[in-house]
Amino acid sequence: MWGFFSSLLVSEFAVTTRDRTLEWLALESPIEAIGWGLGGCVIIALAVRSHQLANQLKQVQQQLSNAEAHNQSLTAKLQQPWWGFGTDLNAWKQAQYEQQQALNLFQTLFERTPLVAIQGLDRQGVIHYWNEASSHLYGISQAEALGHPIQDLLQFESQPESFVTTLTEIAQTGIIQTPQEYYLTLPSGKTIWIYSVIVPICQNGSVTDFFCMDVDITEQKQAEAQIQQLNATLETQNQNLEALVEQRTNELLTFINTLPDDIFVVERDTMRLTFCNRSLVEKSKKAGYPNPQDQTIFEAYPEQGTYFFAQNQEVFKTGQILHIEEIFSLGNESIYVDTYKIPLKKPDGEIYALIGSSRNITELVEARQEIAKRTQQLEAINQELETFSYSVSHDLRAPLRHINGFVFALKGHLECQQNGLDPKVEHYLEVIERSSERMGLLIDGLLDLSRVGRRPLTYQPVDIQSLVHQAIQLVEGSPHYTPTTRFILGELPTVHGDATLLQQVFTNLIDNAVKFSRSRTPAQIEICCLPDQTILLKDNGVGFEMAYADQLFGAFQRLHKRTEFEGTGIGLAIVQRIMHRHGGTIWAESVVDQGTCFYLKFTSAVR
Amino acid sequence: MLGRILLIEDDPNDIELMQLALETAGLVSYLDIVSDGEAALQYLGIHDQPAAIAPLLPQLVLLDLKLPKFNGFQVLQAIRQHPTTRQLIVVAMTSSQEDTDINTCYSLGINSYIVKPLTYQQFLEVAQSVSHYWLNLNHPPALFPA
Repeated sequence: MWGFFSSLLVSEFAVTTRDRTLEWLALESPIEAIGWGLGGCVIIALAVRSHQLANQLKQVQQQLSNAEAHNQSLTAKLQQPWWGFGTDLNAWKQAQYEQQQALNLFQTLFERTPLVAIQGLDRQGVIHYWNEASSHLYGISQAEALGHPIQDLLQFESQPESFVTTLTEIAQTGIIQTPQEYYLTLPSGKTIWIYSVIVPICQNGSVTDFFCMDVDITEQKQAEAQIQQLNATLETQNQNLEALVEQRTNELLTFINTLPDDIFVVERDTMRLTFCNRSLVEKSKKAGYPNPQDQTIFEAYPEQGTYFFAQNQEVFKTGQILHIEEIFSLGNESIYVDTYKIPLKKPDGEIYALIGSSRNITELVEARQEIAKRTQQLEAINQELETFSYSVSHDLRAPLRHINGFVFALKGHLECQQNGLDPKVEHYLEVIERSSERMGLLIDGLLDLSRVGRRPLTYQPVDIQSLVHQAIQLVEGSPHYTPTTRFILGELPTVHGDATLLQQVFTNLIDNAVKFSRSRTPAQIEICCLPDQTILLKDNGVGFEMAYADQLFGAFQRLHKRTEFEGTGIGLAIVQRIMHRHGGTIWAESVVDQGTCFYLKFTSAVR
Repeated sequence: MLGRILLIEDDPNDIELMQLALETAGLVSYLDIVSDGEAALQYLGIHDQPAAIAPLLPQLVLLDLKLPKFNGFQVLQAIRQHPTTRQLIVVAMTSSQEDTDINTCYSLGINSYIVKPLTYQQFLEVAQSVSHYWLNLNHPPALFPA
C-alpha cells in the first residue's frame, strides 16, 4: 500500500517538476521514476513469495518509508512560492542529495537482488535493462541480452503465445496483471519454471515500456510435480490394493461358503453372529429358523444359546482356542459336531470376537460308537474263548490224566494179584491208555492253536535266514529226522513280525518237510526267496493230491494215514494262523511222489 | 532228616495219583494233604485264625492253582507276604500251560512251575524228580532249626 502510494507521489513529483528535475534527478525520463515506484511495489509482491527475501524486504521497506517522508518534505517545499526557491537553495541542495542517495539505493537493489530477475523491455520486447539476477537465472549475460527481443532468447514452452499476448494486453490496458507461471527452455537447453509479473511503464497515458520481474520456482514446481506423481502413484496403488482386497475377499467368501463346515464369527460385546457361512445359514433354514446372520446367539439358537454363551465367554476370557466335540441341536435335528472356536484379537491384543468352525462328525461318531460296541462284543467273545481254552487246558486234561494214571495203577494191581495179565485185559488197557494219550495230544494241539491266535504280537524286524537255521537245528534233534537230509538255502529276507511265532512257522514247516521226505535218498529240502520276496520251501517228499489242497491247513486235517506219518494234524493250521495274523498268506503246490512246495508271502518285507 | 511235603490239591483223583507216585518213591510218609486254600493257610499258621500249636513248616509245598475258597495264586501271595513263610519252597503243579498263569506265578515268587504230564509214566517221573530235587539236592533256606 505504502509502496503504491509512494510510487504515485514520486510520479507526481516527477511530472510537476519535470523541466527542472530532469537534470538534478539524473533520470533520463519521468517514466523511470514511475518505474522505480512501481518496481518497489512489485518487489514487495514478489518478495512476499520468497522467504529468503524477508530480511531484505524489511530494509527496503525502511528505505522506502524514508524516501516517502523525504518526498513529502520535498513536495511541501516545492509548493512554496517560486521566489522562495532561490532563497532556500541550501535546503533544496540537501533534498537533491538525499534524493540521489535513495535512487542509488534503488538502483543497487535492482542490480543486486539475488533472486528476482528484472528486465526492462520496450513495447516490442526488446531488452534494455537486464540485472545480475537475470544473468544468473537465464544464463545470459547482460551484453548478450541487451538489444535483443526477449522472446528470441527465451523459449516459452508453456503458453508460447501468452507472453506476447500478455505484453500486448498490458500495452493496451496499462493494467498490471496478476503474476503468471511460465515454463521456459534456456539457451543452455535447461528448462525452468518462473513466476513473473509484467509491469507496464506509461508515458502520456500510453505504455511505452515494461519491466518483468521473475522468480525461479523450478524446484517448487518439481516438488509439486513429484507430489502429484506420488499422489497419482499412491492413488493407483490404492485402487489396485482395493481391487486385490476385493478379489481376495471374494475368493475367501467363495471358499468359506463352499465348505461343508459351518463357519461363523461371534462379536464379543453383543454375542451377535456378524458372519455366518452358507452351510450354517442353510441349517437354520432347513430347521425353519430365521437366518442367523446378525442375530445374537440367543435369538439364533434358542435351545443352546446359553450353552454357547458360556463356551464363548471361556474363549474370550482365556484367549485360548477351544476344541470340543459336542451335540448341535436345531429344531428336531441333533448332530455331532467337532468345533473349534478361535479368539480374534485387535493389534493391541484385545479380543473383540471369535471365529468358529463346526464340522458335522455324526457319521464318524456313530461309526466310532459302532466300533466301540463291536470291540466290546469281540472282547467279550475273546474273554469267553479264553475262559473256554483255560477250562479245556485245565479241566479236560485232568480226567485224561486220571484215566491214564488209574489204568496204570489197575495194570499194576492186576499184575500183583494174578501173577501176570490176561492178554485180552492187557490189550484193552493198552487201547485205553493210547487213546487217552492221543486225546491229550489233540487237546494240546488245540491249545497251541488257540494260544497262537490270542497271543499279542510283538513286531520287530526278523531275519528269516537265522530263523531257518535255528529251525533246522531244532528239527535235527527230532526222532524222525534222517541225517542224510540235504538242506539247500538261498538268500532269505528280513520281515516285520513276531519272532517267536515266526520261529514256530519255520519249525513246523521244516519238521513237516523232513517227515514227509524221510523215505527219499537223499531227502532234499530247499528254502529260498523269489524276486518278489515270497519265501519258498520245497521238499522232494511224498507230496499230496492237489484236489485236497484246500484241506491242508484245516485243524486235525490229515492227507496221509496216521500209521504212515505221525502227528495230530494241527501243525499247518498253526502255521496258517500265524501267517494270517501277520497279514501274510501261505499256499502249497504239490505233485504226488515228487514233492511239495510251500509259498509264504509277507506284506511287509524289510529288505 | 527230611522235612515234610505239603500237597495243596482239591481233586481226589490227583491226590490219589500223587500218593501212588510218592509211595513208589518211598516218600509217602512225608506227605501232608490239604484240599483247599483256606486249609493250606491254616496249616501254615498264616490264616486269620491261627492253629493252636505253632506248626512245623514243610520243606516243600506242591501247589495246585485251581482251588476252592482261596485259589493257588492267593495262597502263594499269602505265603510270600507272611514273614514266617515267605522263604518257603513252593512248586506249582498244575494242568495249566497258560502264559498268564505261568507269568503270574513267577511274578508272585514261585520257585518252580510244573505242568502235570498227561501220562502217568511221565507224572511218576516228574513227582519223583521234583521231590528228589527239592528235598535232597536243593539246599533250603534256614527255616528249620536243627
